[in-house]
Amino acid sequence: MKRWTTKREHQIYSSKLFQALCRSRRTSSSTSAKELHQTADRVLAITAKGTTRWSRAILAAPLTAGTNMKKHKKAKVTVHTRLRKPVVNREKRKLPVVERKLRALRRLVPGCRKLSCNNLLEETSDYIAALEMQVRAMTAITEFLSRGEAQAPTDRLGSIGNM
Amino acid sequence: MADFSAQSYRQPFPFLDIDPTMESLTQFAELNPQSFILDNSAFNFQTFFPLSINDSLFSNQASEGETMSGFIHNSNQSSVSAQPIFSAKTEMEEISNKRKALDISESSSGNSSSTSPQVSETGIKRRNVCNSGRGKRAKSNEKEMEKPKEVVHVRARRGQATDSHSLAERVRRGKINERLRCLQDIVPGCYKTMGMALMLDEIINYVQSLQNQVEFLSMKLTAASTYYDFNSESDAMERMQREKAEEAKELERLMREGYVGIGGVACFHSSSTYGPL
Repeated sequence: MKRWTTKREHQIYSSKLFQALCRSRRTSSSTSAKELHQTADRVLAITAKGTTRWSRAILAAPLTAGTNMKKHKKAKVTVHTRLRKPVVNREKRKLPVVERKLRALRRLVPGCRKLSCNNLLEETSDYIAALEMQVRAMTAITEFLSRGEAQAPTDRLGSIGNM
Repeated sequence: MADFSAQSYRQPFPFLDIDPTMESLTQFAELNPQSFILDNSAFNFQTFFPLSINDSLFSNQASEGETMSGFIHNSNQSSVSAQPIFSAKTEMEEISNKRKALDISESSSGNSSSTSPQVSETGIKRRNVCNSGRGKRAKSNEKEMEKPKEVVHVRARRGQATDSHSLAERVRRGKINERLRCLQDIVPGCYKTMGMALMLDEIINYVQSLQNQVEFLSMKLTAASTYYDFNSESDAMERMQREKAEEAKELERLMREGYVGIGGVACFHSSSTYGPL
């Protein structure tokens, strides 16, 4: 968790991301936002060096094109039981509030679908730190690119003017 | 069964002649609680020698003969002052069954330091004392004692239940609370008085907002990179380092001027984390 806050890690990640961006730009002219997002996530997972579960999950299954919307079958089941036993189920469904939230958290963090509460919280803290670093790095790169864009036309104008 | 126990009993015998104080055996007994279920309640190790071994130590160890001789050889290296290990079978079983994930035998078979087994020995001894006098001694005022990398020994507090289930639950809750406290430091907007449900709400919201930020930034980055000429990017890294240094200085300057909330969370966090570096 502490390794995501060092400047060194930040530099490593942003340089790798920039290189990956250059490479993908050279190979294919059109880069969609989703591709870039996936590339950025994978570079982040690589920087994690495989010690965390979410990083391994990101690297293991990157070949999904498009969003996979799984149907939640449990929702249907609760509708039927509500018709049969109104009172008892209301009480029971109120109790595992924490469980429902843990389930939501499991859906958010990649690769943590079946983790216990304890390990899930640990993975979450590492994942949050990594995401923060990713946000910082991507803002820095965007700044750099937009500044480069602002300068380049002026350079070209200058060179044209010299001719 | 009798043949097997006799065989396994013969193997460590020359070792026992070498080490008459039975130090290593006590340590070994300590190291391997889950396979080492002692029937008798109070041993004095001087009386162990050699006849009682067959009945007490190896009576239940039909399958564990090889591992035990291996452990005896491993534990030969360190020397611990001999202490009587007396443990009720139920106590060892119930604690060891819960601690299978924190198996001592795996962690300390390569661990030849003498201090850790000693501490855990005394821990088990004290725990036994605590549990044996359930009615009265349960109300001892001792604190929890945690040993890194080994079995966590929990002592009962005043007015709390001492059965193994509640002890194990208390340990589990303690671990979860520790991780929640870590998360509290990371996630902004969390108070110490928040319960688990509220904390989880905040955590979920924060993770979702971070993921949305990343998605938005990736769109922005693709837009910015379309106008950028990547083929002429020879000294990109140096330029990037320079840019980042400038940015960091700029952010620090703005923070000093009290300019909070420039770009939302990202800038706030970047400034806060670049500070001590």
